[in-house]
Order: sequence, then structure tokens, then C-alpha cells
Amino acid sequence: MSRRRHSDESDAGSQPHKRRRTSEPIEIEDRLESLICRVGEKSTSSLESNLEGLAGVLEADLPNYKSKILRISCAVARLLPEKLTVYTTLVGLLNARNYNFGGEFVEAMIRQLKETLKSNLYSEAVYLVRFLSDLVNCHVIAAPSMVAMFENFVSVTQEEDIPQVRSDWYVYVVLSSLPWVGKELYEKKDVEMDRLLNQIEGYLKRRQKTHVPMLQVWTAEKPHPQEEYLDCLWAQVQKLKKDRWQERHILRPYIAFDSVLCEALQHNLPPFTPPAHSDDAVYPMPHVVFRMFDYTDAPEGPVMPGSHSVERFVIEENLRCIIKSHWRERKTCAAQLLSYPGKNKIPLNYHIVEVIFGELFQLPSPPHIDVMYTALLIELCKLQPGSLPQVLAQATEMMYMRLDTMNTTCIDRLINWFSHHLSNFQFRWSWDDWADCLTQDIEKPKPKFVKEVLDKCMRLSYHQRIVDIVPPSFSALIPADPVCSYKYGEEADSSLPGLAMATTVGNAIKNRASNEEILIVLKDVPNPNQDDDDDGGDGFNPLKIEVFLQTLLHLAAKSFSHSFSALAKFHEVLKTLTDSDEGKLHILRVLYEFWRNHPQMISVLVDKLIRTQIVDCAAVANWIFSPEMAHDFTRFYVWEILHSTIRKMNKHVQKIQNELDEAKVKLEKQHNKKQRDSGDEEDMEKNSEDEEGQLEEQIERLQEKVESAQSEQKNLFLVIFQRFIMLLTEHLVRCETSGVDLNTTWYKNGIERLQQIFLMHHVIIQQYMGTLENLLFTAELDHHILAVYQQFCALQL
Amino acid sequence: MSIKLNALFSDSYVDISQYRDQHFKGNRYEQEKLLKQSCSLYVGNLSFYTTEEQVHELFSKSGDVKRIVIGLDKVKKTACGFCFVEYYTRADAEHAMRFINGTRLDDRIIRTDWDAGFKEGRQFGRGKSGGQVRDEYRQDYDPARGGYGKLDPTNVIFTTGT
Repeated sequence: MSRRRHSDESDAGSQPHKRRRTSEPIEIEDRLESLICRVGEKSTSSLESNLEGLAGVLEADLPNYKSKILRISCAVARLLPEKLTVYTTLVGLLNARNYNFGGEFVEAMIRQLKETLKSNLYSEAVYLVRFLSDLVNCHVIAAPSMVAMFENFVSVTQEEDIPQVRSDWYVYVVLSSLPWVGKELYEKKDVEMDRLLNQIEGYLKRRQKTHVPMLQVWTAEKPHPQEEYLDCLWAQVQKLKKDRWQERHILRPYIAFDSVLCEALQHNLPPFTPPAHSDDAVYPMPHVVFRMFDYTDAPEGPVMPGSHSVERFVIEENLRCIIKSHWRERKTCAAQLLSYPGKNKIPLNYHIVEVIFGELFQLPSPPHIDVMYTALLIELCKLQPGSLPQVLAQATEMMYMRLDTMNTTCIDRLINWFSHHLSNFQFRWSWDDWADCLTQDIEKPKPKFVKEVLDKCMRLSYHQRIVDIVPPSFSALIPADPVCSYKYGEEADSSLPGLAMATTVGNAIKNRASNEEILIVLKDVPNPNQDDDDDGGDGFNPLKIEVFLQTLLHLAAKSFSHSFSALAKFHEVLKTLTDSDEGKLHILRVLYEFWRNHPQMISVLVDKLIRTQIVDCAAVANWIFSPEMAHDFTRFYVWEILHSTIRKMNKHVQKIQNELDEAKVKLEKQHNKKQRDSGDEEDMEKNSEDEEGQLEEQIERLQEKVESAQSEQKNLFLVIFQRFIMLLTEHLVRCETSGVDLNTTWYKNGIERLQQIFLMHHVIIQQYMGTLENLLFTAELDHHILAVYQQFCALQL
Repeated sequence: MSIKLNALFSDSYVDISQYRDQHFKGNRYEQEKLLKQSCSLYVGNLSFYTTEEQVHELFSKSGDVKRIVIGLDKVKKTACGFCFVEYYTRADAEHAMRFINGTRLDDRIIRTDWDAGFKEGRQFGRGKSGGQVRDEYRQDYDPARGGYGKLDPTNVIFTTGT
């Protein structure tokens, strides 16, 4: 059994593989990886002496392990951007000692850059280019060749018929490297650099920014404008240039080695042409720079760098890189954030909190799962119990103050974060500080926020707990006690239709009646919708649904599991009763009526009804937009249900698509096998032909299934968008004709919920743009609503 | 570009623990294989009063929950402080191990661990008194877990502890 790992096969060319004890080379390689990865971490020796020592070790190992060292070095350049300058210094030292290594490293980096661009790994490509540019500072790469690469990048802005996000990226990658290398490049090639910056300025002036409003966390310009990312970066680079490229924040270990490094021979970057645009290229989406703090917010200690200072950019970049590297390990992540080099010169806690909320509120979606940020903030509070909780409280207070202009999607995330966070700290909060919300209309953002937070807090605890934690003055905002509303109970009016039947059904269920028996019992329920009884009573009968479902839910009200069992047991009855679209809508209405004080129960039951195919996704969408739900239309739980429904639909389509792809792969394998085995005995050939036939049939069936599922998916989005358009247009027309300001609280919620559909499901929706534009988002639409669509289109233009 | 830098990118919250179910039908290897693919979690140190609804709300933060089975006292058939949470996908369960394990539910720090998969009977405590083994010999007073432990001196059981 060969113990050679597949990575060794490429070594075979450069050196003969010495068959000593086979474990030794692997151990050494792991050790090399460990040494390289860990340099720069907390140590008793200085960083400089560690780098010096490591360079010596690696130089000695180059004859035998060059390939491995090259690969590890390329990997850390790509995966550990927060330690950029540590590794560029290391490469610089190695290059000074071994010119060939430097050349091969640069070549390997260029290869890696090409691969990342081809694979749509744009953030990693940024790190690679930044690394290359810092290598200019380490005398590994000649400045003019770096400028030439930047010139090639910026010339992408001259390409025609490309998506804006493509040229955006190439401009971004140049600008975002300048904090590191601007000084050096200007010293060597100022004329070219000026020309470059002028070109960039021209591009930035003419690029369109329709997408910006959709991505802003707050609509207000004060206190901190939510700037488009390229605009902000440009302002930062302009300021840096004005300061003659003096940049003092970045840790630059190579400065200590200047005498050694400047003796090294430099390499020229090979001419690099950006790969041409292709249809499967997926460029990063634009974003807006999130700012919530400035120098007035940190009371004592170091001052926060200004919003257009390049230091601010570098700090935010590095903190984001740390989170990107360590998000799976929350304790490590917190520790790494808190040990950020240079932390004594900046109000680090404020930066960390700002970056974390910036990611959490990022539109369309955060880089990582929401709950990670909650867990990370808790770890940070544990590590800095004397300072971080106060900053967090200050941030929460600030966000509360600015709820009026905060994007609804971001408010959702804030509600989820805050309630979950409180549940880890005994729900302690100075609610009285927020007493101002009590005098406002309950639909206004502040009282609404508090109400939704308390709702979520209750879900994580219980009703009495919430009553206990808030001052009595807050009672109007406390959620309802989540008890059910059984209409056929003891207090029911004796003339209520179906009352007697409900008792009969209830007894039948308690006596373990089967589905058939229940259906027979239900046959006697009169249909209030019909005059003649001779259709066999199988059509839509709302009273049947009410009697049965109310009674069933009442008997199973004790817990989720009880209700799930009940739905499963009487699946057949429910399926029969909800055969029509009206039936499906009605079952949701009855469910809502019964559990209207328990939104969590409504959510889980709707989920179950969809998964067991008693209702379909379109029925849920129609129900949410129905007049009966108008009262709850601005409540958070309603949108959670809608988005969960859309996600289920998407997962369903994806699942069948995967099955189809798998079957196709199988078929291809069959073909290949057949070609290899051809010439074998006749019955083997016949068997494989049968298998092929079966597979082909299966693929045809799956193909149909995929098309049908996609049709359902498209229809779901059409229904949702149609209903939005109807509802919002009605409001806009009414306001116009009565001369009332259209910007009501309801309207802000409505239009932002429409936006949210686009943002949260943008990948899928992009597939159906043609249909949407032709059928719904036409030029005849009110421009307020059309603007949302246009902003969405601008995200990937 | 295939190098992964194993030295650095650990995912320790997702690793399987030392605990092995002594009642598992199969050998160690089979159990470990299931644990490494599982979408199910054991959740321990719950209060006896923690409800399915609370568990559902918390664990939904890492993905769609497929099923929750509340652990019961074998004799009393009441909640005895643990449960199983099953997700539809492994990825969602992994997020729970990374971000919900070691945080609070109902004011208690809960602990999650991989489970090889729910089987009928596993919802019952295995302690002699009907609850969990850990409550048999627990010496502290925990009002959310029935007060003092049962402390039957003859009930010396060697487990890897929960």
C-alpha cells in the first residue's frame, strides 16, 4: 500500500522520492505547515526574530521541500489575509536568500490568481493581488510591473457590454491595494499612477448607482451616511494621496529588514490580462459601507479614525478577514479579534462591534449565518466583561434611537439578535430608558420593535417571565398569552353552526376513529355555501373544515408534538377536505383563528401542512395577502412564514434538480462502461441496455418533475409580486386622490417587505426576470414600485 | 489550490465527543460512523420545565428543525431534562453545535452532542429512579432538575459522564 499522498506525485519530477521511513517526509511537511501558519502569533520572541528564524529554516528545507513550501506560502497568501504583511516579509526574506524561489513563488501566485478568477473566488483574488502589491514593498516585485498590472485591471473599465459589477471589481482591487503599496508606486511611477487614478475617477463618475438605496441599512444621511463602497474607498484613497501616502496603521515587519531586502533582486510580474467576461462569471455584489460610530462615541482612550481615513478601511478589512478565517471557532475568533495588532491605538471594542453589526445587517445577506454573530458577541463579552458589554449596550441604544429610518430587513435581524442575546443574560435591560416608545402609535417603529422583541423573548421563555421583566407601564407591548381560541368550547353560543357536530367529531377522535369513520361522520355537516345537497357533499365545505380542524387542534393543543401527531394521524381527512384551492385557503384561515395568540404555533403548523402537502406554497402566499390577515400584515411572524415557505419551495426544486443531475451522471457512467465493455458477451450487453433504458426513463420522468416544480416556483413568485403590486398600488392611488402623504408607516413596511423578497431570494428570482418584467414590472407600474424592481436589476448589472 | 492548511482551520465544535451510547446496537466503529454523518443532536442540562416550544425556537436559529423528542422520566413520564433535536440537513446541525452548544436556554447553559439517531425507547432516562443517570448521583441542589440528586449509594455506574 503506497503511503504517498497525491500531493507527492508532483514532487516526483523535481526530486527522486527517497524511500526512507515513509512517515518522515509527511511529518516534516506537517511541521512546515504548522511553522508557517503559526508565525506571527503570540510568542516570547519578537516577530522579527521569529521571521528571521523561520526564513533560515525554510531556506535550509528548500532543496527537499520547495514544492510544499511554495504551496503553503501561496495558501497563506490566499487564506490568511489578516497576516498579509507577516507573510510578504517572509517571502521577501526568502527571495533575498534564494532568487529562484522568489521567481517561482511569483509564478505560482499568478497561476493561483488565474484559477481564483476562473472559479468566481473574487474575495480571495483581492487578497492575492494585495499580497503581490505588498511584495513590491519587500523588494520581491518591481514596482513598474505592478503598475502595469494595475493598468491592465483599470483598462477593464473601457470594455463594452460588460456588467458594471465586473469593472467595479477590477477598480476595487486596485484601490484596495493602495493603502499597502501606494507610497512605493507613487515614488517610482507617479506619472503613470496619476493617469491611473484619473481613469478611475472618470469611471466612478459615470458608473450608475441605482442599487444603493436597496442596500442601505438606514435611509437617513445623518449621523453617518451609508456610502456606496467604491465611493467611500475612493474618498479614502484621495485623502491618503493628499497625506502624501503616509500610512501609519499597517504593521510592516519588512521595514526592520530593509537593509537585507533592498539588496535583493526583484522580479517582474508577467503581463497579466484579466480573463474575458463570460456568462457564468458571478462577480461580487456591490455593498454599502456600514458605519455606526465616529470619534465622538468612544468616551475615553484612543480616537476612532475618521470615516474617510485609510486606517478605517484597513482596520475594517482586517477585522472582517479575521471573522472570515475563524467564524467556525467562536472562542478563537473572539480572542483573535481582541488581540488585533495595534489595538492600543484604536478603540478596538468599537471597531469590533461596528464590523460585527455591519456584517449582520449586510444586504442582501450576511456573509455568515446570523446566529454566529450572536454567539461571537457573547464570547467577546466573556473575554472583556468590563468593557465590551457597555459598548454593546451603547450600540443597541443607538440603533433603537434610529429605528425610524432603519431598513425593515435589518430591523428583523436586530430583533432576532437582541432577543436571543437577552435570553443569555437573564433578560436584563433598562427598559425604562425606552419609555418614550409608550407614547407613540403602536405601529411606529420603536414600539413595534419593542413588541416584537418581547414576542421573541417570550418564545425563548414563557409569558409570565415577560410580564416580570418589563415595567408595568409596558403592558401594552407585552405579547398575548399564547392560548388557543376554541370556538366550540363551553362558552359557545348554542346557536353556533356546527357546535353539536364538533362534539360528535371530538368524541369520535377520542374513541380512536379512523380517517374513513371521521369522513363519514363529517358527511352530515351542512354546507353553508350550497343550496342543493345532491352533489354528494364532496365540494368545498368551509364548515366541515372548521368543525374538524378546530376540534382536532383543540384536542392536540398541548404541544407541538401533539399537534404534529394529530395532523399526521388525520392526514387523509385533511387532504380530502382541502382538495380545492378554496379548501387550502380555508384551512389556513381556521388555523389562524384558532391559534391567533400563538404565532409560533401558527408558523410550525403551516410548515407541517406544506411538508405533508395538505396546502401548497401558493395557498400560503394567498392567505398572507388575504384581507383576513391585513391586521397582522406588519407583524414579523407573517414574513417569517412567507420566507420559510419560499425557501421550502426553492429547496424542493433544488432537490429534484439534484436527483436529475445524479441520474444523468449515472447514465454517462453507463455509457462509458458500455464503451469499455463492448465486445463482451451478448447478455451483459443486453443487461446494460436495460439499465440504460431504465435510466433514460427515469431521467425523462425527473425532467418533467423539475419542469413542473420550476413552474410551481415561478408561479409562487408571480403570486407574491402580483399581490404586493395590487396592495401597494391601492395605497398609492388612495393617497394621491385624497392628497395624503403616501409615506405612512404601513407603506414603509410594505415597500420594504417587497424589497426583502428580492433581496432574500435574488439568486432564484434572477432566473425569472424575463417573465417578471413582461408580466408585472412594466413601465405602466407606479414608479415607486417600479423603482424597487430597477434597484434590484442594478445589483448585477 | 487544493491545500487546506489543516494546521489552522479547525472546526472543533463539530467534532464528536468521547460519549458512546452503551445501549447502541452495533459496534464502536458503526456508532462513530453514524455520529459523523448524523443530523441529530442530544441536548442536555435542560431544566425539567423547558418546553418543546422553547427548544424549537432556539434550535431553529441554525436551520429548519425536523423533529424534537423531549426526554422523559421512565416512571413518571414527565420531562427529565434532556431532548433530541433532529435537523433535515447535517449542515444545520453543525451550525447548532458551533453556535448554540454552550449557550443558554431557559437561563441554563445547555450542552449538545451528536446522536446516532433516535430510536424508540431512547427518549427515556436510564437512571435507576427513572430520570437521567446524572441526576442519580448529583450532589448539588438544582431546583430546575428536581432538587437534590437521588444519590442511591448502590447506584455506582461507570460512564464517561454527561
